[in-house]
Amino acid sequence: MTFDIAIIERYWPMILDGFGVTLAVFGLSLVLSLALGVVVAFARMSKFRLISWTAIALIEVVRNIPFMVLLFVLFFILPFFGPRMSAFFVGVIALTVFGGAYFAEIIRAAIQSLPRGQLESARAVGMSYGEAMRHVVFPQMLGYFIPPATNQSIMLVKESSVLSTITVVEMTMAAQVVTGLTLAPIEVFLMISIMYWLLNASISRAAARLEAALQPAARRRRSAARQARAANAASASRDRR
Amino acid sequence: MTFEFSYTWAAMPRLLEGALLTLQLSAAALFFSVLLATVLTIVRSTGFKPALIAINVYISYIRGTPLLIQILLVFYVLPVIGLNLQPMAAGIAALALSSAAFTIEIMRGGLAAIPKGQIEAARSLGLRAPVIWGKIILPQLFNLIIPPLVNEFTLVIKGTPLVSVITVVELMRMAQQMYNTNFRAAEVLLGVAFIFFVMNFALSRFGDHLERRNAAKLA
Repeated sequence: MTFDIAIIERYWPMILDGFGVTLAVFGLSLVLSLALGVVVAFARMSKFRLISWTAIALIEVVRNIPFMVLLFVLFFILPFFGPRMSAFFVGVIALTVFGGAYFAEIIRAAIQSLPRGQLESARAVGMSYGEAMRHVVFPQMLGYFIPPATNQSIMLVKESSVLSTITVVEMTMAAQVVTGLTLAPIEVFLMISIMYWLLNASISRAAARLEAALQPAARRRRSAARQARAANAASASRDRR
Repeated sequence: MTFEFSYTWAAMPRLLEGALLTLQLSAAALFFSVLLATVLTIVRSTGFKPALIAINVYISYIRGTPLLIQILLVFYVLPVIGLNLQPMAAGIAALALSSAAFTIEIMRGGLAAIPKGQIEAARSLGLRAPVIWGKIILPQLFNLIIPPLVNEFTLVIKGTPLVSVITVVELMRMAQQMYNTNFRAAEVLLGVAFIFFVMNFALSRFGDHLERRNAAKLA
């Protein structure tokens, strides 16, 4: 067994193209699933049973079926409702639904970790529900939101590798193609492992920076304790992979 | 082509057979995961530096890379180093290796809940490490980690469709074989989703129940 660095040198443009697709899929589905997460979180907390139960059903279904099954179901069922879409597009939709359900729970946990009195007193001094959310609840919930949301973002990156099974040529698919060409799986998989690991490590770093930037210095001191509680909230969203 | 539930219904008996295979596969993977995690937990407790570093690298690799990559790596790399495993064995190995990294962390949590005084007392009575682990720590530890292990079991189950990529026949692969002959992918896959949902929903409720009972006992 030898390790041939020349293989990496020769084929890295193909892997890099795949990495670009992985990044695109991740970026798109992160933005879309955050938006969906906000909608589902508020639907989940709605006073109207029909709306809150629909949200609960969506969350429970997504959390209890494997992502690959969700992806395949959408891949074969969406065409019944419209024109046939490209695999890339179906993949982004699947990751959005998947991420949206988990983000919804993270957002709900973050909002509900705040003492009720915060929202109530903001309402009592005459703020509207929207104003209270924006000026009082939102700034405080970030400490509860960012750590579990970081984990969830990393999960999006990892699950994006499953899109290779519906023929999206992202990094995992590119690696399989290169492995087919070179018969050198060790070099190729070592390389993409490092790429995934680097991407995930940068997401953690960026999230830590974002959190530091968003939190005023006075509050930063309390954030250690808060992160411990946020980790508890995160374990409420059971999945980590 | 219209969506017809009758195909979902007709597929059910064979899909349930596949579900049984998935459960067996997951149970085997979880068994080896717990075994490996136990060994690594004991190794870690010795405080031997190179071992600690190796275990940390292993955990960080598993957490930082997609499960699919880990499965493909096991499938492609084992033959290169001279181990020719059947797909089923490779699938179990990959799922177990991946799950063990999380089971170690579960065990770390359980270990923290066992009072230090017990181990100190055992040492002062002159008991040796194998006896302390075998008779004092592990029996309590396994009891403590049952609820999170039920959760881990659902995570392993959710990982199993990925081993269909390396041709292991489980629920997903069986479904694919079926719709490759009847071309009713949407209907068959809906059945697959339903079965996975029922299995995992029931298991995670059961896990929550055990967790609450444990919390009540500890309080």
